[in-house]
Amino acid sequence: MVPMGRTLLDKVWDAHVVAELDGGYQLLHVDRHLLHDLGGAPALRALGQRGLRVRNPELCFATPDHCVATSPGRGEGSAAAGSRLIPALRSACVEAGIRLFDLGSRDQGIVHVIGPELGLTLPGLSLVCGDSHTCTHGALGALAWGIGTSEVVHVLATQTIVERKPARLQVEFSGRLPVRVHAKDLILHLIASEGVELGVGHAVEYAGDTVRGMSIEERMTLCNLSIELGAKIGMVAPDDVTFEYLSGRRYAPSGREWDAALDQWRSLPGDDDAVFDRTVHIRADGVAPQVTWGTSPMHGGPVDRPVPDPAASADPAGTRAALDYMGLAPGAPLLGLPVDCVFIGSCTNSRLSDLQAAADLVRGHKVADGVEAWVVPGSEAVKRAAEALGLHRAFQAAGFEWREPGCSRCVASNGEYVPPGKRCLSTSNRNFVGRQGPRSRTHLASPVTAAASAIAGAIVDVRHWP
Amino acid sequence: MQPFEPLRCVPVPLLEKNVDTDIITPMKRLTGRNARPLADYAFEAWRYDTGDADSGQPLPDFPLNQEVYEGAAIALTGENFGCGSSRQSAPQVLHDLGLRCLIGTSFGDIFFNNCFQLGMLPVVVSAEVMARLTACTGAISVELTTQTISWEDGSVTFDVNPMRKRCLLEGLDDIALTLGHEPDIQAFQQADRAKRPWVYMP
Ligand code: SF4
Repeated sequence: MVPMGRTLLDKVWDAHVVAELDGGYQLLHVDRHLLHDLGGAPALRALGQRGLRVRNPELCFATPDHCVATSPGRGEGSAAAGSRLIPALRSACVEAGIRLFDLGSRDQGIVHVIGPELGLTLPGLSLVCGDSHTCTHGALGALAWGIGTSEVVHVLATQTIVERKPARLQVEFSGRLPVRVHAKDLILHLIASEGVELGVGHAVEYAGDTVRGMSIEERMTLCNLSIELGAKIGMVAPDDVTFEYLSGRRYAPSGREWDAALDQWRSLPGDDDAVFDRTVHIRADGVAPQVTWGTSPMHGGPVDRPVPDPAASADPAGTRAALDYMGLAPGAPLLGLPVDCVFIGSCTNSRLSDLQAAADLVRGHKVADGVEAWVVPGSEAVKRAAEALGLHRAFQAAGFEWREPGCSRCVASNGEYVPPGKRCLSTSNRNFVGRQGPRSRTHLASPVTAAASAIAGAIVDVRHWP
Repeated sequence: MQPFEPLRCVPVPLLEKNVDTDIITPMKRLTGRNARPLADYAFEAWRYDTGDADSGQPLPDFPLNQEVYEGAAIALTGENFGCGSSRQSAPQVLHDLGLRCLIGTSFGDIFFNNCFQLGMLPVVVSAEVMARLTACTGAISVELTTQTISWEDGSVTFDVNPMRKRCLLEGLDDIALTLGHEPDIQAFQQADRAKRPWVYMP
């Protein structure tokens, strides 16, 4: 039999198999383990309680992000949860010998923003973190996925993880995205059209000329929402764009090691005759700006389309419950819907290019009266780079709050809730019931849609924005 | 971890589609100081009239508030149950509520793995089997050794991964098993260090 061509997933996966286990499970080596404030200290404590030690502390990296306050000039104690969890993370990391990118350091930020930024995430690496949006790192051709607390303890103890290889799903995007339509719109469009179960049991590889033409930051936005498609893993084959992005990053190899790494990385893309279990083709050129109307990322569509009528939908009860929660009448338009809050941030859309695109739209305008608009950079490095470009002044002049880096209102685990009943246009990735705080109402959108809507005080079609 | 025992009860129906882990354990309760055990806050947005376990009254319609299901160890779950975040608190509160087995047509991937780490059994069945189970009014039984779900007048067998089955029956989690592979891990790292030195010296 002629051996079949291998996909990117096959190549990276197979290179990490330490042992074959029963039932198709394999023991995989973990090259990078990222920890954060919400789960880090509890997992290290659980490890100690079992009488175990961190096997490879040099391969673990930690940062506080979920529970940090993001108010300008934040103090330690300004977020209630953080005041317990952050000092605990700090002392646990010291004790275990794990590098910590602490508050106030130039490297702190949302764990999925700093990994790539620091060159900790590299093509062909396996990377795990106790957070479901770890799939973001796949944008660089890494095999990256989110794990639960017990698994975090497992990785700390053994530097390995027990997994079964998922099926291979290829999503091929072709064509150019229209002006002011972004990677966020493309992935929301995919989820709205294919549903939140498409990826269950699969690893997704995003391919096609649309993806080839994207920057690494755009690819990260795509991969970030893989979990919202049901897939733990999303990947993009590494190419020159990837290598250029990584070259010179602090923890990326350099000199002769860089050359050797590059040689290996060039062989990672799937073979021409590689076989996927499933392929989906999506045209990018007709995609409109997307805004979600309900309580699942799948409840979305073009901003200029009214919300559905439950009676005419495939899931009447679910649709009705979602519309009720969101305070929307069946068939109501999204365009012109007043918003109370706008949140530009999260590991989906808080990188420099996101903030640049948003800032471009707000210059010379003012945030509408009564709208609370926040910009929360994804990392200290993003914040500093944005400030060097004067973006903070553009936002502040328009009436946005320019805040400190962290997860913030994406999940409100730092207490920065969207108030009950308030409507928030958010560049994050989840619009679940209560996600941004009890009874908060979340509409997901791109940074430019969010920025323009903050100015208008209502949801707008950014294609027709001045 | 407790070894997995045979179960028999009237199953709790949690049949909404795409139940996410934020609904099961709201973030506010994971970071705040709670007046009550975490399991009391499970599904609070759906379970109490104010959407808040501290201020609200239990809604009689919500299955977890109904006496028939008290102490149930089996739940019937909707499509894509446990989607969303990786938080292990989600299966943990279900475990705290007494659940040991979830039966549904599909589960969130990370949630599915997390269940086994807590000694819980998620079972994937076909839509037809699901329809028969939801139509049952009496008790159903789950037996892992024979991989059988049975009810008043019928039964089906289900698939379970052999490794997961052994761990559940013996009450082992992955860490206990993997520690036995330490020589393999050492051998892997030694060979890999030569091939990909940059991985090991960030
Ligand atoms: S920004 Fe949001 S989605 Fe991303 S890691 Fe933080 S809480 Fe999770």
